[in-house]
Amino acid sequence: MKKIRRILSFILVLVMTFVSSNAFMAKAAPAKGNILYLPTISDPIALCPFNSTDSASSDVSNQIYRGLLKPDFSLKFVPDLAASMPTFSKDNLKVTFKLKTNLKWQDGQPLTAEDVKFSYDFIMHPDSAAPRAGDVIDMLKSVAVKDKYTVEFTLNKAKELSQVLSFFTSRYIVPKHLWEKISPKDNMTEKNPYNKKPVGCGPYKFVEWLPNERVVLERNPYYEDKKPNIEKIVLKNVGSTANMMIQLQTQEGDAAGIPPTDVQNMRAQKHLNIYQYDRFSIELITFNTKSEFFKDKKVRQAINYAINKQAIINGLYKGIGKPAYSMYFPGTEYANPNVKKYDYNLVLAKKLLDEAGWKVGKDGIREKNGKKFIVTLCTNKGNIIREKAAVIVQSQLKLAGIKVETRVVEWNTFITKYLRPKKFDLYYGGWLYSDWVQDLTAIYHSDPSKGNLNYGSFANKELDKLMEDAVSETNPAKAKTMHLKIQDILADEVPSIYLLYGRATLGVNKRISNIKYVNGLGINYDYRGWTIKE
Amino acid sequence: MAQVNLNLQNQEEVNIAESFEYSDTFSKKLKIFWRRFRKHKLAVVGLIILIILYTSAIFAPFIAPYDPNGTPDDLLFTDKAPTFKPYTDFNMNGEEVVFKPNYFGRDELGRDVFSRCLYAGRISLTVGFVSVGIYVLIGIIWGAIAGYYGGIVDSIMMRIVDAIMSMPTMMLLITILAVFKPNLYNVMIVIGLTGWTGVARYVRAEFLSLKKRDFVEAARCIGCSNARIIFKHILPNAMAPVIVAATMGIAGAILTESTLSFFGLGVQPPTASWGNMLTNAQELNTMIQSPWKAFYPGFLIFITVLSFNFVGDGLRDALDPKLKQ
Amino acid sequence: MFKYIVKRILQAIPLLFIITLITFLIINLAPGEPIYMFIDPESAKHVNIEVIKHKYGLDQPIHIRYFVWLKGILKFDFGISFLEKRPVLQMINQRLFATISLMLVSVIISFLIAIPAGIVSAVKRNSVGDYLFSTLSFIGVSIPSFWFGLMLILLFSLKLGWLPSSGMRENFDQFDFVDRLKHIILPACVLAFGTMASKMRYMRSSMLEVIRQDYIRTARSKGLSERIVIWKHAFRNALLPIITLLGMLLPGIFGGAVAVETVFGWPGMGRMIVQSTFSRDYPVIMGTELFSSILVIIGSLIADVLYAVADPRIKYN
Repeated sequence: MKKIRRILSFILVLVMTFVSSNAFMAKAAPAKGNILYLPTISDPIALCPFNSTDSASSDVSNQIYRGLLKPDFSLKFVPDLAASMPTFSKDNLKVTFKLKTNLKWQDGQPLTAEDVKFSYDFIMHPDSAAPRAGDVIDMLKSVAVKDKYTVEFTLNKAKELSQVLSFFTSRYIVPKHLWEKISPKDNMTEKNPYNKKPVGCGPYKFVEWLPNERVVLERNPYYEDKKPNIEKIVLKNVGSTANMMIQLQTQEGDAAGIPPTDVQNMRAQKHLNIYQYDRFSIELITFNTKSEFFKDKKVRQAINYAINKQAIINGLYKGIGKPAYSMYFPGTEYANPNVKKYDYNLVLAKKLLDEAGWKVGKDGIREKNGKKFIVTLCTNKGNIIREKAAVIVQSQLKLAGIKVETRVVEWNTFITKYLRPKKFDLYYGGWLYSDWVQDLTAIYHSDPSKGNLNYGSFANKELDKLMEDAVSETNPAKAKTMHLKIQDILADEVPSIYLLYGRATLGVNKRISNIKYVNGLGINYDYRGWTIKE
Repeated sequence: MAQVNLNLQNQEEVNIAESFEYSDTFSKKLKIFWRRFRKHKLAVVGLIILIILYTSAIFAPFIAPYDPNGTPDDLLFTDKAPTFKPYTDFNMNGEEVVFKPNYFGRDELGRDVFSRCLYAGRISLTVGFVSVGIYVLIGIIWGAIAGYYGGIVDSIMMRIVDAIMSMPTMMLLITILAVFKPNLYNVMIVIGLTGWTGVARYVRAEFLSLKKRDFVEAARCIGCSNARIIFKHILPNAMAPVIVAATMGIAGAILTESTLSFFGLGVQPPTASWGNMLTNAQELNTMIQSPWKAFYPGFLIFITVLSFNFVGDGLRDALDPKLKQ
Repeated sequence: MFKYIVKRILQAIPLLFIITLITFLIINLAPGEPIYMFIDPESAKHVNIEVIKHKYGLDQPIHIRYFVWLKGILKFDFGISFLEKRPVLQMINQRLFATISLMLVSVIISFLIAIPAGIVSAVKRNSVGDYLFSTLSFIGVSIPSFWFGLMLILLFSLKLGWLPSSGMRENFDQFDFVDRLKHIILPACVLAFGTMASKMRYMRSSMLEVIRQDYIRTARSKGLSERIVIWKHAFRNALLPIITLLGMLLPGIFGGAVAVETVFGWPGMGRMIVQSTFSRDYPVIMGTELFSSILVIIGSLIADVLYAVADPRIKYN
């Protein structure tokens, strides 16, 4: 027994010495050096802007690649790779860009008009199967090199100015001298090394990517504009939001987006600066207008009145976010400030439902022609706030006499088994936009080939025509009238209930200063001004 | 961890069935059993706790002060620390109402955690029982056939058992539930389908030793059918380790459901289970500012699983032939 | 001995075959098309889905796909990830070290604690220590590991600030032992705590068994001190069966690692399988499950061989 005790105490002493030794007593090492540590939840999938659609990938590739234009903190489009804004032909079908002449790829090779033409041709190649190819194929007919630094795009159809400018902000330019060795059919396979080890022209260049551990970027010596102050960016994959918050608190991580529930807690941290800004994002509930419950616009309006948006914002988003009235973001060019607003009004909702013929039955659930008002509300898995919001909507509609059954389904199944075959009555979803330019054709056009995201099968001939005309109207004043009209129709017809505009919270360690952000774009992937004081 | 529990009994219990004389009457066996079981204090405590938990789950609608999913009249949309006195507050409609006490507080949607825990108990305890029921059934049939017939049938069947046993169960569960829909029934079925291998092994071992015994030979001589011999004569005598394994298996199944919920693959909200209530614990805010949301369901899982393990341990001792009365 | 090993390896072959069949069937009977992993279903408008299906062989009937996949496995080609477009074997390889090191450390920790605890409880049966250890071990199996992990992170990372909350290392330039140790302690302890109970109980009953043996009684009656009886005679014999336990526990440890790796952001196979499951990255799921099953089988083979080596009474042929 003595021996056992001796062994036990030996182990104990061993543990104690480890724990109390300097190496362990030192607080978990706070981030240091001229390096920005960003905790993240997941690994990127492909580090090429046109080969990935996930945010983890774009967080990295947006530092590495650039577009011809970019959105600016002033909420205008400004030249990036282009030397100046593009010129348009008389019929607005040809767009000509002049490139800066001092551009270089991260391997030191010059960047010319050839690269631009090559990139767009590569994306449009039928074999490349790039996930982002759709937008490019819709917009462009062909690309031609005029001289070493001049490139001319021919559009399929004349488009409104902001639509065109927004299109050219995509960071799709890749180096021809490297990519020409890749056959387009190998683009999305392991034979394309640049999905894993990108070479671009952005402010930062790729250093290493250790799966599930970290991605390291470092200042690009060939960047021709003002070089970033921070020498290295390390994106650490910590696996969960909770770990991200812990990293912010222990100062192992420098900056991270904070979920609404943690904002109050993080404000109390003395070493953090908290920034809040609106995002170009919206949460909405879309009706299946083919469903027998929601054919009638009165019912849709009634439900819009019956949902207390402010309660959802207060309860789930902790007051961070604004009730939404339109797909256009307030304060932007074409937003309609006078659009019909559906503020919470249960009495009116009940009245509209009665008028539509849905009478309250014995059990408190409305019915019409013997059919009970029982509907399913689907949402995708993984967004905890959405899952909870579905519960709130459920209880709010119960007050109006509507029974809601919620289904939370994994993303892939959600799209292929519920949305596409229209097997839902209501779906809760959201959109996040990279800028403020709106084109709703894909979401509400009744022709399935144009409205490929119109899962609610909403059909309105007047709206179809307006949406098509608005994006190709080159006279800004006329375009504006059309966009305002679109919003009025949507507000009256209620194909979707707009719940709220997103607002993001960013926590940044105080060792970093000079953080620029703007409502809508947020920090705009722009770390160039950020400064670390030692 | 269910598997771990099962494995551990593997060697100890091969001979348990022999602890009772086959001639003993049922009531006499029960008396001996109870006398032995009583000695294991922790097991008795566990049994009492389980009885309380099951009773309150069964009578949840009578005990719960609130609707577990909240009704529009009592939702607040904010969490609230536990209170033991009635209080007034504004409900969703902006009316000032007197609320009943929230013994375990309210969650972030304002639902009463105590009521949810009671209803969740129904789900979690059912998950435990049904999934173990499924695997005991499969395990007994599989093991009985393999053990009774032996030979090539036995080798093929046991190879399949070995194969399933070498697959990491949690990975298998996650895969199956992610590709099929996770819901209450699927969770129970899948836990049942992956957990039966241990039971099959004990039953087979029992059968291998029992089928050579005189009373089986006797039954065969008087012309009993194979099925009759398996189910009427051998099986009752092979049940002891199965009962112990099942008891601990319930503990494992409840724990497994909570781990699945952690990955979002357990019982789906808004139906509450202790496991999916505990997933609130993933939010840092919950842990720091409103720990009651995660503490109570977590504690209930813990205490239930612990009680089942104690009871299982007590059963093992009580059925163990090596300990003389 | 050699014959025995060969026999065990031959026995493993049908096992592996059954395992491949099970994994393949589960995944391929699933609803939902894996094809949408290549293309965001929302932007699938311009892509010819049939072409891509053909490219990845997804247009073939299920049994053909199985044999194609099996043929690949035999050539150590586990396929290519749908999502990441990397060879699966390479992805596993990148994470293998992390997972194995986590498991090894946790097994060592659990043995270091379980063996002395088991002996104490056996020797001092029904003492306070026995009760304490068995209660603790039951608590260990009764706590959901992800919950326990979060608690430890809160305590040691957030409140005390002693240990990092996630990841495997801070120092990426070289192998820094202290750095690695700091990162591995919490996840390994959580993993160990869950399996400690069975090891301890096993050690206890094995020790009890040995103590009842005649040769121990003989040793005692010779007047040897209790210490020598326990440590020289009983301990070594009681330790033997625990080796085989290791083989049986491996699948559980692998399974436990799934949750623990997710909580601690550990860059191992467990986390990879969770991610690939949610994105329906079938080649990765099948590859990882097969690979971990192989590891389990190798593990139990090694355990059995060790047992045979250690125990001269056992002869295999």
